[in-house]
Amino acid sequence: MKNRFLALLRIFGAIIVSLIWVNASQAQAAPDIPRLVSGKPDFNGIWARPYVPDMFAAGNGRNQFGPGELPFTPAGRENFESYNPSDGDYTGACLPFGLLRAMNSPDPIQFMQTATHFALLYEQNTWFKVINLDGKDHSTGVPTWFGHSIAHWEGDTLTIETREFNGRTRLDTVGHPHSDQLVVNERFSLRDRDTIDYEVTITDPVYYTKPVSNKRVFTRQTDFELIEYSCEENNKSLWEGRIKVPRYDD
Amino acid sequence: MKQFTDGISAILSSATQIPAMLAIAGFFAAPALAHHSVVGEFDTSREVELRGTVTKVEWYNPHIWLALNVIREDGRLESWDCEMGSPNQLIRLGWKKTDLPIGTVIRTRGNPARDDSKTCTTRTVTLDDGTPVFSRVGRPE
Repeated sequence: MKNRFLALLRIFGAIIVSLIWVNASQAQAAPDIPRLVSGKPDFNGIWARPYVPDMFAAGNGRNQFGPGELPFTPAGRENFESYNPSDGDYTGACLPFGLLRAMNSPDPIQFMQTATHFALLYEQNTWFKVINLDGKDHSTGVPTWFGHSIAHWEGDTLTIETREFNGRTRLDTVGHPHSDQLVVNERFSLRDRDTIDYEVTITDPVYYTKPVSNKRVFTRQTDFELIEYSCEENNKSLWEGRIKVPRYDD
Repeated sequence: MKQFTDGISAILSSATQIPAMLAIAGFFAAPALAHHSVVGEFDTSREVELRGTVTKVEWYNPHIWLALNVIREDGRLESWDCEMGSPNQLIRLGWKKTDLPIGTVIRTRGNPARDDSKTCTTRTVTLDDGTPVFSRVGRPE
């Protein structure tokens, strides 16, 4: 009887020690980050992010880290070298920036998150993108400017894969191209309460020989709200003909 | 003084009146964060320096536009329109539209439009005495 009691005591003690160790490990892996009731990291808030006009540059080494190389396929190089924004500038014409140009914008962004959805509110042109977090494919089959996204969690990292782009956008301000085969993988991780580590990887075998990644740091902003931003309100450059709307073949 | 080329040199001849202080004004204000490719509309290989009177401030997105009466050496006036960044950026830095009243004499450096209309994108804007205005480093206390 006494031996059985001691054995139970040892098992109970081992469980307690294990729980303490697991909690300590979690605390070490993810210090003081806000979480939803579900336990998932809580990205709600307004965030400042670096302007990335060239996704292939090395970056500023502070809050932006790029590849520092440009692995064009011959088709990619030809497209880029023939690009002239004077002939047609879709962003200047206030057409949708698309996912990459919107994420590369210098304007602040707000994330609104529930247990089921993740919404990206871009101050730039007051656009938004909403992603279901159920991990299922909700595609309509129609390619779009911002693509179709499927999200899932890898531990505390929110991972979003986006496909089905309409091919009418460019990756960045300097005009690096992408095809309709583009796949974008984004990873959002809370480093601490006020810092997001963001990594975006683009894969486009038509224009690039290998995937290219770009890392950035987003910083929480608590002293302002998003401001309305109408791209059309005073776009004199378009009305007066200095910016042209691009012509699409299809 | 910087050497200028092409068809805007006549306008730029008045730049000789601009104090050297203006030449370093780039220190005060970063280029406007445009919502699109600047080089499609403006020729960044050329510079324009203007001194003129503000006749209108269009404080709207996606770009602020300043209408200027530019004073030429021979006394004639020319109307210029020059764009800046988004007002949202300047609002957060403490600037208001009323910080640049109509009638204020300003100096600006920037790049002219490719179509040679009297249009430019600004790199720096200062009051006549060199004080930055609508600067991206923030409004003075």
